[in-house]
Amino acid sequence: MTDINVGTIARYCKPSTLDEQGKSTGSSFQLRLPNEKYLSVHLLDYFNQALERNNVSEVKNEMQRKGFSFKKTGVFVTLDIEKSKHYVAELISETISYKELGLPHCGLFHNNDDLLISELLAQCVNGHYSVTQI
Amino acid sequence: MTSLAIADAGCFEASVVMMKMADKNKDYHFSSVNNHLIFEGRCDVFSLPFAVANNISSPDQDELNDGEQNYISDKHRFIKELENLKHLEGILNFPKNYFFENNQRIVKRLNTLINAYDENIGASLESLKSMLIFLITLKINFKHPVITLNENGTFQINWKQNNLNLVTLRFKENNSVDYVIFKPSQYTKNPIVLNGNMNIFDFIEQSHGLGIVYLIQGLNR
Repeated sequence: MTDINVGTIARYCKPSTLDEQGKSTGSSFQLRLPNEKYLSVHLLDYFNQALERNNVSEVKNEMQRKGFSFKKTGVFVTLDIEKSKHYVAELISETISYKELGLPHCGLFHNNDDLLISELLAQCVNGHYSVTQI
Repeated sequence: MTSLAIADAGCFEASVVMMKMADKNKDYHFSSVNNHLIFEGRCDVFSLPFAVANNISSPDQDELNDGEQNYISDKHRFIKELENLKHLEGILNFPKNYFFENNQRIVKRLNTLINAYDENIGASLESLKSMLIFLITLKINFKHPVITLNENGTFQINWKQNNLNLVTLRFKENNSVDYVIFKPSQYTKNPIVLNGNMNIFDFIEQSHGLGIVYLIQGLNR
């Protein structure tokens, strides 16, 4: 699997993982099952649109094509790959990695405490896009 | 002399009586609702919350007074009641009788989360019970936390002042909790990071020593 070291990724956050204002939390970045190896994300740069919103919209279309169904109150969030890797390294001296899984699909991999990493990733969120607004 | 309710302890009420109001240092006197003395002393007014925290944590079994004994017996009673509940609806209704008015919002929030959750594995009733036992036995009137339901079915709560000052708890079965604590450091711009797993009652007792009570504690009833 090829590492991705620069760019922006989007992740879909389910409604029960959002706070009461509809913003992502650490819950939005947790592995679903103990044996899962990565968090599922999509590389926005793959679509090469000028506006981030349009790239996120392309991710939504891509996921829908593959049969994913969205909840109206779900949101997409975006993170900068380089900044998130740097932030985790700076605060806890650990590494996370983004790897290609058949672009635009990517995986966010780490071998650390899921709760701790998820909290740090939640702090790296740049953009919020409601599913109904893209 | 002014009486000021500053803390709720679930099953006993603590009130502080302040004297010598012109003086920076205050005498304090904590009593249960039946007026039995729990503890008293003297400290700087800014240290009062810490004095309270230190005194209501880890009670010595040999020195328990009526208020504390009532609290502990009530705690065991509602833990047993909750453990006997087998259905989600009953568990969701349970905290209505135990939370103070400003914490009733939690009941509404839990219902919202359950309705929003659509994973095949189902929400963990054991995690929900652990969270409710934690909140009910917390011994302080807490600020409304951010409550979320993880994709794996476990419930999570978070109290946060800012990115470098927060506590996040993920509740599991058998009254176990995963925790992440960020605290400001006096020596570096990066926070102190604490994480691990503990029994919820150990966590409640350790939370005073960890210095996170101020993040959790609310002043309004």
